[in-house]
Amino acid sequence: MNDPTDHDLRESFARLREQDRSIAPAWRNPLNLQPACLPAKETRPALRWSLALASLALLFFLGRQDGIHRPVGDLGAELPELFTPQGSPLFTSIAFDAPSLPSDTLLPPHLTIQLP
Amino acid sequence: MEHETAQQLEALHTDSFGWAMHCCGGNPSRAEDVLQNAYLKVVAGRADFSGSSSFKTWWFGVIRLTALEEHRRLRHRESLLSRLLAQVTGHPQSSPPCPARQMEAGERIQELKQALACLPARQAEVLHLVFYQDLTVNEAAAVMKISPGSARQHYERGKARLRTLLQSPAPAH
Repeated sequence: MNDPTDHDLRESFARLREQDRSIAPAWRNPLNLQPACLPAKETRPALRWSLALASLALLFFLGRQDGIHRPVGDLGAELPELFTPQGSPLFTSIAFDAPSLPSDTLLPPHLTIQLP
Repeated sequence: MEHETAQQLEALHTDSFGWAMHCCGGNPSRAEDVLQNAYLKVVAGRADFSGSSSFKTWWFGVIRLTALEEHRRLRHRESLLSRLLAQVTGHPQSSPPCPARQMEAGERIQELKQALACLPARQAEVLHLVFYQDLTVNEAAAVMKISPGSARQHYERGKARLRTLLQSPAPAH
């Protein structure tokens, strides 16, 4: 890509390159940076794991506090009695001789169907 | 990282800084950070030269990718408050070049920088890689991860636009 008509542009970019070079930082061998910089990369997953474990521990603790892990048998015993039968059973005062009477015995006489 | 790789990186160090500068919009401190992170990628084995392209092409691709990652990270961190503060005070968020440096820089360099900033990113990239880094258009395409045909198109259009911008009078401040 050596187009002679681009000489002006190349010249301008060459000046820009010279200026950038004057402010470029000095070369430091990346191999020397390795011990200082790599642990920072490894701490991230460790931090993530420790946070996850701490969250799990907190959830477990809160669960125990709220009774989530209590046995089911205790729960039935602790329920309040909402309905207790009081007095005698219903309809005990009505004389009812089921085997000897038809099903419409209790109906008034005008409603009773007389079959021939 | 092998010593041979370190030697190759050292030979490309100043050019790498120039490319990082371009990828960071001319911000020297950000360019330095990006270059440092790119070096660390190589040291940690997260960027490995496979030999399918030239070393320079591969290395410039790593720098470009690192600059993009850094740009995304910075954009994510920018809070609404800092943007508002920058607007109120009228200072741009990137650190401006010091006045002494501005005075030292030639007018034509400033014009070139301003003209490059006006170009679409792809056009500016390919022009930098070809004229500043002396890569071929095909090598620039490899760095930019685009097809050679597309790179050629960006190159031709960018060159024509850059010439027009450099010939037109600079806008009054």
